[in-house]
Amino acid sequence: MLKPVGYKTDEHRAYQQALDDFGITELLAKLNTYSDADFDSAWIQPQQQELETLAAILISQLTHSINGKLIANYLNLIRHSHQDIAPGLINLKYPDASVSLPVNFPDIAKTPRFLYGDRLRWLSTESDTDWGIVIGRFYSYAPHHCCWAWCYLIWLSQDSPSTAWTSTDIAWEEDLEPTSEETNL
Amino acid sequence: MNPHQLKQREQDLIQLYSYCQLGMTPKQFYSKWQVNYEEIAQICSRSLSTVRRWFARGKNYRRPMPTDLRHLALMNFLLEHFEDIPEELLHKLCFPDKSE
Repeated sequence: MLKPVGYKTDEHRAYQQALDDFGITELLAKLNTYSDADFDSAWIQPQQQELETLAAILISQLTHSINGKLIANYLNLIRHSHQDIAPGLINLKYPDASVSLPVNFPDIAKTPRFLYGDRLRWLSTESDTDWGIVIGRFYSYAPHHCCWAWCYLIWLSQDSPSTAWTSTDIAWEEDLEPTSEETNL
Repeated sequence: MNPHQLKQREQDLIQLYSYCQLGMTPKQFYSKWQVNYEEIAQICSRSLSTVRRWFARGKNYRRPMPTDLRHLALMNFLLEHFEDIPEELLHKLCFPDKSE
């Protein structure tokens, strides 16, 4: 079983140092106190988990929107030891965060990757990940991507670790992969 | 057996229950009670694989469903107030089949 979180371990200190080094601590602090005409954190009072998700989305957006001109400009500034890198160089686009069902559903929805009866397991680095057979699916809003995605209902295998207390569970499509193992479903 | 007719009391209780904001996040529960991920999975009737994602960071993090938050809040309530519940009520709550 997983050990409880150790807040004073070397591993945690290294993690915190990385957050500081890459400006994520600063980003989280700014999001927590941010205020302008469109967003006032004092009024909204975002939770810590919401702040972390927001920071992850913003960083992901930057990764996707980055281009050669942007990289070249920043690299030029870094090489010439300019400390004040102009924040205006970054131009982020906001995702469509509407939680309403897309009006052109189901035309806009991607074709589901998996079919009823497919044998799947949860993607994991752990050796005791759960697996089972697809018995249903539904289209749902995925808050971790700010978009709609397919979700699957899995009937757990009798050999799956969690079958001792539950026979089914749901999972997002991206969290599942086909399993080639011969399992007793 | 005929169903009970709803009076004002019952209607008020249904409204209270329907809009009740009772909820507790897995992280709050985990930091308050010395449980492991398997026990949280049992409380919420979820797989261990799902619960691990509630505690993951970054792109592997997945948000629990509102029903999961309700399960944990109810478990927290029971853990805190178990001894305050009269025995007769406790049996009806935990062993409904034997109470009838």
